[in-house]
Amino acid sequence: MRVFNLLLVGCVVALVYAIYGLKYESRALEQRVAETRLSIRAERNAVAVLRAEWSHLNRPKRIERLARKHLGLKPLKAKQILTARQYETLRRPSPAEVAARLLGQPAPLKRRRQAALR
Amino acid sequence: MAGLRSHLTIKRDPTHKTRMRARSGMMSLVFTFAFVIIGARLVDLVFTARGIDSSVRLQSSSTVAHRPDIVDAKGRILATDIQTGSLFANPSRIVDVDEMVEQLASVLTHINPRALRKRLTAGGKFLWIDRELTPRQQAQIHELGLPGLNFVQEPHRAYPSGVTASHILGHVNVDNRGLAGTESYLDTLPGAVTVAGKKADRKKAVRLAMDLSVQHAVREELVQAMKLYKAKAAAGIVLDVHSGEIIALSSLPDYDPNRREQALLKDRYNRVTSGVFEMGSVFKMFTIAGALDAGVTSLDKGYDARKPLKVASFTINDFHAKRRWLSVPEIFIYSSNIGAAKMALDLGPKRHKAFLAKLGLLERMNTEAGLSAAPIVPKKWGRLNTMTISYGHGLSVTPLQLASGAATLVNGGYKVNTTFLARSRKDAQDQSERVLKLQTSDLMRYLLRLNVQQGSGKRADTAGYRVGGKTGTAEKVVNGQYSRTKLLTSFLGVFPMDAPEYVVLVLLDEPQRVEKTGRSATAGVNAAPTVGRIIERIGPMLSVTPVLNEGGLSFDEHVSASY
Repeated sequence: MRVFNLLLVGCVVALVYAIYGLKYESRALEQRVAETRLSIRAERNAVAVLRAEWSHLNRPKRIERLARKHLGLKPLKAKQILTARQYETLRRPSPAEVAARLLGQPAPLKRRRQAALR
Repeated sequence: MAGLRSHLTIKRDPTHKTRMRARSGMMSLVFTFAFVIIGARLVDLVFTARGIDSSVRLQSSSTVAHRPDIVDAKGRILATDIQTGSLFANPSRIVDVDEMVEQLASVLTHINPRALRKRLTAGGKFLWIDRELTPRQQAQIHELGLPGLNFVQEPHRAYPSGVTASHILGHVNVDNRGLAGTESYLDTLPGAVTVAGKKADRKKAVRLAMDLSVQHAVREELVQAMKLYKAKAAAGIVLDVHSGEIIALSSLPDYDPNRREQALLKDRYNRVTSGVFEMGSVFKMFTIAGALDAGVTSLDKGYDARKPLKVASFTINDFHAKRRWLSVPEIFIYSSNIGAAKMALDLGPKRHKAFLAKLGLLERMNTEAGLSAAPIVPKKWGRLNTMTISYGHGLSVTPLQLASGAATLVNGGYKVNTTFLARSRKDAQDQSERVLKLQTSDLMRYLLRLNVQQGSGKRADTAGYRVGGKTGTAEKVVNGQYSRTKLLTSFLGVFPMDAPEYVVLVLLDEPQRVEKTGRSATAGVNAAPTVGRIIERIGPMLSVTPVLNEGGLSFDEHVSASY
């Protein structure tokens, strides 16, 4: 009987120890969860700011200004757009060029065609 | 004590020994049971209950609302919430006021150093220095390492594209509540806008129909046009004729939604939805479409435009008078008021009114940005009203209504609801109804193209994009009378005319005669070329392939062959 009681007391002490251990552990974990949440929040905010800044830097108004200034770009003209087939016909020598070549004269129209592409 | 004594007496009695053992067994059973329960509860508490609710700790006490992002058709951010710091000082902890003011002024350039020094030296414990600082300013101030300064974090609405899309987006108030445009629409969406503390789901971005590149190009061209023609104001819309989506909308002068106080400045209102105007000759397209649809006229019919039309004390005259009989296409391309009025009389006031109502020109338009301004419709619609309205006077509508009505004329005859939100053409078509005959729409396409090829809209023609359209020059009413010099010019363009995709409407308020336009200030010399320039820029962005005459039959040859 005494042995049994001692055993029970031992059990209680062990359980209490285990429970307190778990409790402290869970506190620490909770703390970490809270900290992680905070840092996630901070990161999210930072991401939001960076995304806004990215969009701000990529706004068409600014890109247009930079493209005009540094790259010398201009709005696209309709004649700069060709279908693959039109490009083929453009690359082929025109009848006038063929005739000129057959007659042994310098090709007359090449420059103008290139100008049209510009 | 009595219990204890009796206990002792019992102990002396050997016959009670077994009974006592049984009792203590009972007791230990009860205790064990109790401990098990307590233990279980402890385990339960450790694993399930939370000592301090961590989410409570994270909450800010701010009443500022959180809003979903707004993105354009291609997902570019137009409006987003960012945490901004507001800077405050605790004057009692400041070491050196002069140094602090000097250093702060190097970061916050807009601040008045003298006033700040005065406020700081006055003492106290709390003082706002500046609110809603940019992240960069915050970092710079942080790096100064000055004691006595602190930040409070609050969500703040940022509009990265700045002025570009102001009238579509609208803006918010200090508490992040929508005040105009799409922002005010977000506040009506259930659950979209939440106050801090409430558990906000990962908010889905609201996608607009607007394409930021197109919007920018339209605005940029309008800015140029305003400068070039010395206009007081300008407005432009690009509408998808099949889906009813507003691809671009700009009204100048506009404002930067990041600086909401600008929105209240004079003349910054949205002319496209909040202004009603007598549009002038642009309305002739509705007159002709109505007459063609009702079958009271046809393209080969002619009208006598030899002399001005006199009605009671009122005379209707032509601006570019031809003084002869005009065919229906001629009435359109020479913009004959007399011809249009006579055609409208053939249609009759009742049918004329019903036709305009069918196109949605007589009632307030409802979009996500709220109700547009109400059109000004004559209370009694008689013959004289029909005659003046046939060429765009005596009825005031919003530019958005005009563009939306024009979309119906060219998209095959469907009335499509106009929307700021992204929508597929199929969805739009499921909700739309046919209000015009297909043939009427085809004829209108022919007439609009013809007007750009040969008529008043020549300067809108852009090689390759098959532009069609109609000019409108309205005299503004000044002191109750039509003014000869104060004009409101507009051009309604459609492209590509062989299979219309987009309507482009441009309005210029009081454009002046300038060197480039010669002695005229009518729509043909200012609004029309502006639309042409816009189309040349936005055509490639909207994947409309230009067709140049090189090789094969061009669209224009097709047109003349089929009519």
